Amino acid sequence: MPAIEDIRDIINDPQTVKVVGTVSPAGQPHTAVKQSLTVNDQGELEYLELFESSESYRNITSGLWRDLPVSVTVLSARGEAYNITGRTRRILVAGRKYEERYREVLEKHGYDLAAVVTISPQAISDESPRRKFEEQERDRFFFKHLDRLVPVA
Amino acid sequence: MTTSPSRRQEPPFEAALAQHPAFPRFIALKIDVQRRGVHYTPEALRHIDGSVYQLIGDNVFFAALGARDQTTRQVPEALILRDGTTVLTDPTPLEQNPYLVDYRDGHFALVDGGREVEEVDFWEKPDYYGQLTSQGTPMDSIVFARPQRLNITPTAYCHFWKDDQGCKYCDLVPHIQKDGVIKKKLSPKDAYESVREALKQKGRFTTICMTMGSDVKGKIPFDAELDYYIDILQAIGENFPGRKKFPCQIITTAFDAGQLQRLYDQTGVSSWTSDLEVLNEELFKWICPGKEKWVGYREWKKRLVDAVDIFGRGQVNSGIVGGVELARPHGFATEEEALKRTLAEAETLISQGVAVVYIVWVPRPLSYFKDQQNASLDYYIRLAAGLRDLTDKYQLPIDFDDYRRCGNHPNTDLLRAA
Repeated sequence: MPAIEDIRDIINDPQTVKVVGTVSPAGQPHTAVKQSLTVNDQGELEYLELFESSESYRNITSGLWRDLPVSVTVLSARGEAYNITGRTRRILVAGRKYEERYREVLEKHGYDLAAVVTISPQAISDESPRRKFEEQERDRFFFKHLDRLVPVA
Repeated sequence: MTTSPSRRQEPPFEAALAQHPAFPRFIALKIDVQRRGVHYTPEALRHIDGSVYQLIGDNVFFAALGARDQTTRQVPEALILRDGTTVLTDPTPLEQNPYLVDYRDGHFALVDGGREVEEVDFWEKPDYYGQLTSQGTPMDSIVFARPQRLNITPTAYCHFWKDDQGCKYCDLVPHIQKDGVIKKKLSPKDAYESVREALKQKGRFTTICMTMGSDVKGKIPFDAELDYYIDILQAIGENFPGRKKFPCQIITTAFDAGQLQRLYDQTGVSSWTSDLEVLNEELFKWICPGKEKWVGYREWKKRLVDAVDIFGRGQVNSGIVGGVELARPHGFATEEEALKRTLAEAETLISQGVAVVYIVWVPRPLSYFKDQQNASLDYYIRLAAGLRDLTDKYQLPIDFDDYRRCGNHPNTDLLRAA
């Protein structure tokens, strides 16, 4: 399993697409693009929840309350893909650190800020298509179409 | 350490919470911490940086004044949990079995029975603390900060106490007299300047809340209270030029419809709260004799409903002191009955657009109910969930008094994830 430090640069790259997946209290899945997501100095994932009224903010709160996992998928511009499963560590809604991020958001986008969310990574998997294919070919003998086994004339 | 017999009979926190698996542990912990109070260990006190955190001060609504532990000073005003839940705390002597706030392994922690139950932090001190208005008034003596709210308490006196008709759970006037915390009446100019200074701190505040004791004076009872609020609110409103309304809550005596219309028309205030305190007519008469004498339970309810036409649905509510309905000797005999009757009465308000919020009753040593004990954790969990369910049933928003704008009502804390 890759370590968070191994993919820090990929996650922190602004060109990387970052998607956070949560589940509602009623069990409804929800995904949202969170380009603010980065790896912080403590090796945790950190992103900004912009809107207090959003489904992702409600879900991330109820997820912390119910100790549910959060799923994060990142896809780099070079096609590197990783899935990180973790648990919400903190929802920061006030204080100097929050205010610093609030000012950044206000200046850059003109939006308000609901919270700075911290997620502790627990499992990381390499989801790059080439690597997944190689793994499947190695480990799952029957997962293939026969025509691929016929030598090309 | 000796624990009171009734507390010893209670199930421990985890056992009580296990009866309510769908109820958030963070909110249950907040309730239990408020119910039992906190005590700071010497190690915690040694690590609390007064230049960073908001410590108790001279504001009349500061938690530690009149607290169960009368010796406490210079401790943090309140706690904040990892989910952003705020916990207004009551410093409590060790013999009453409070939670401990300790410093362990590089962080502050809530400790119960020697075991760390949750990491905690404290409210940070805002920039305007320590500054003076142009009239020389310390801004933090008149405008008190919560993590995201400005609390303004224009005066420190409730006139119901003049003829010994203060609310029986309240210690406001007795502790003012005992502690000598008599402050001068807030001037509109001081209010304007303090809010202006506070708003320089970007990202700190989302709302303003103003409240004070009742003032019966005036041509119509409470006109003096209303006039004063209007003066202060108009001054505060000058900070928001061009805006007819701004996010603001005012908690007053139950004004009549004419007074409320005047309040709405002449100020930028956007929500109104008037606290019934206990949702039962007979108990209201006993526990809140001043409110009964000057307004009465049924009229108070009518005025709350009338206010919905003026302020709008979702912008009016009423607070209750959760658990005081069980006060001896006239309170409900059992928690089961108290819950059933309180929620039934709450529905009569919620169904008409008036939200109901509760705070955890803390029997303060200078109040009439000083020797009593608040309700069980199980009761407060069921009260919070019951009110949340009624709010869901009638789809009534309470944004102006939620976890962020207020932070002192377990039932509106739950709405974050509803």
